[in-house]
Amino acid sequence: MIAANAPDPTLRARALAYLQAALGPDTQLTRLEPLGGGACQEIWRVEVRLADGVERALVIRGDPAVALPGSLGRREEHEVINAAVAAGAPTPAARWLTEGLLRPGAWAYTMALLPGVTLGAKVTRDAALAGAREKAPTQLAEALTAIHTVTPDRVTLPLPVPKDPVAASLDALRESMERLPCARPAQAAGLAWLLKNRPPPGEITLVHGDFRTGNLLFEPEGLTGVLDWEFAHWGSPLEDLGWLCVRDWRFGALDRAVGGLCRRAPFVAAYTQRSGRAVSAQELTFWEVYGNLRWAAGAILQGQRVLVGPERDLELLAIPWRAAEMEYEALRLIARQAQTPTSAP
Amino acid sequence: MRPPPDNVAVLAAVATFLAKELRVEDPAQAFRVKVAAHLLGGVARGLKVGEALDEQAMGLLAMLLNEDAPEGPLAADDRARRLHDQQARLSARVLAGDVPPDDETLLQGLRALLASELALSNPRFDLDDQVGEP
Repeated sequence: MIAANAPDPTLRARALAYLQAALGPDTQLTRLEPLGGGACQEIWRVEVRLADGVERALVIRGDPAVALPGSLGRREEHEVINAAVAAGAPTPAARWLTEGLLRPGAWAYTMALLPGVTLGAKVTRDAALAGAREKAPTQLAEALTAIHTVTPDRVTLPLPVPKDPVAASLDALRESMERLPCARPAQAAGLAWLLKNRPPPGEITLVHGDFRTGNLLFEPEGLTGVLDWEFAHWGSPLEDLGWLCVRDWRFGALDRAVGGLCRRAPFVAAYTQRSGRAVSAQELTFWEVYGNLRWAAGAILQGQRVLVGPERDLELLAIPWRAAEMEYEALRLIARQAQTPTSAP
Repeated sequence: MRPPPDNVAVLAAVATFLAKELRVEDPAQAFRVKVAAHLLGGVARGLKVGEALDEQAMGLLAMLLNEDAPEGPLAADDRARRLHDQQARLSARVLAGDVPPDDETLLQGLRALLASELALSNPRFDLDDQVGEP
């Protein structure tokens, strides 16, 4: 049934024509409604009945009216996702790229709607998902290893290739900090520390860019999907590892540093075993500090955005106050690193 | 002047009602009620202790900047301006390399500054040094 608050009365007819072109002329559209209750008109939940009676649940994702800085459009994202799928990443393929379906000039694609849970509080604490958490070190490492096999010398993607991936990430962070309405000395200290302690450029791979609890789909049997690729870029693979360990993605399960799912050591060991990349504690701390600062600056900038309508304003208002949490964690990690004796060369 | 309750007491009572008493079935709405309660709680704490925490923050920033703290209490607008200015100057100094970013005094001072901000925005934030370790 079409949602009562659907903004565009011709959307249903356009969606039906699009899906019939993709799935066959006898395809019926049995459900079309905004995913997440209507605040967002860019992601639609779709159900279809095929000619042979088989029912399928799908998601149509389209370009938003206003994109977040540094985020990909659906056209680029479609290519990135399919490169990751080809590399064996557990993510639903992006199909049937089209322009103008949801809005004139806006690109959109369709993917399968997978069953499972993404909600942080459930993923980190629900007893029914204890088995999934047990498999997390291995499955997270396998998913990241697959993503990180996509490299610019083997796959062409519509993304800029940085000369130095570490410098590019630090530049992006500095640009975010320069847009803040008020300077934050903790972020300045964090950035200065990152600049002083930066690792050599190293290799360049596909980086998911938002690989964290909340964007990972779990069933009791384990990880079933990696979602939300809009921040994908060419960069240092270890950036994804640090981001996954950012304190805010633990959803209260503070003793499990890796997304509230498991501790760092088994995850890093599994990643090294599968990817062949050694990850030192110093490098992981570097990217964890980077991730906390990126989210601290991002939280303040998100609150600055006046957008998306009244429904989400309350949540946006609450986000900037969280910046101090990420800043505190970044400084805690820096102080801890300063106290850790580095092994002699 | 109005009889009691004062603003802080009203906000705290409404925040408690939203967080602990109101039952909302729709999960998305229930989440937003929690966010609203959290925001009101932050405002109530700000009204109650914000001024004292601002004074403390100005003192810490003055210490990190090697400058004298202002004499006597400042009006709210002046406090906000001064804090803004102190934070901008300290950030610039740190980024210019005038203070090493792993300097122990700097890190301790900044963490104390953040701790006082967190006392307003999220008093339940765990400041323990060993969180998430190993």
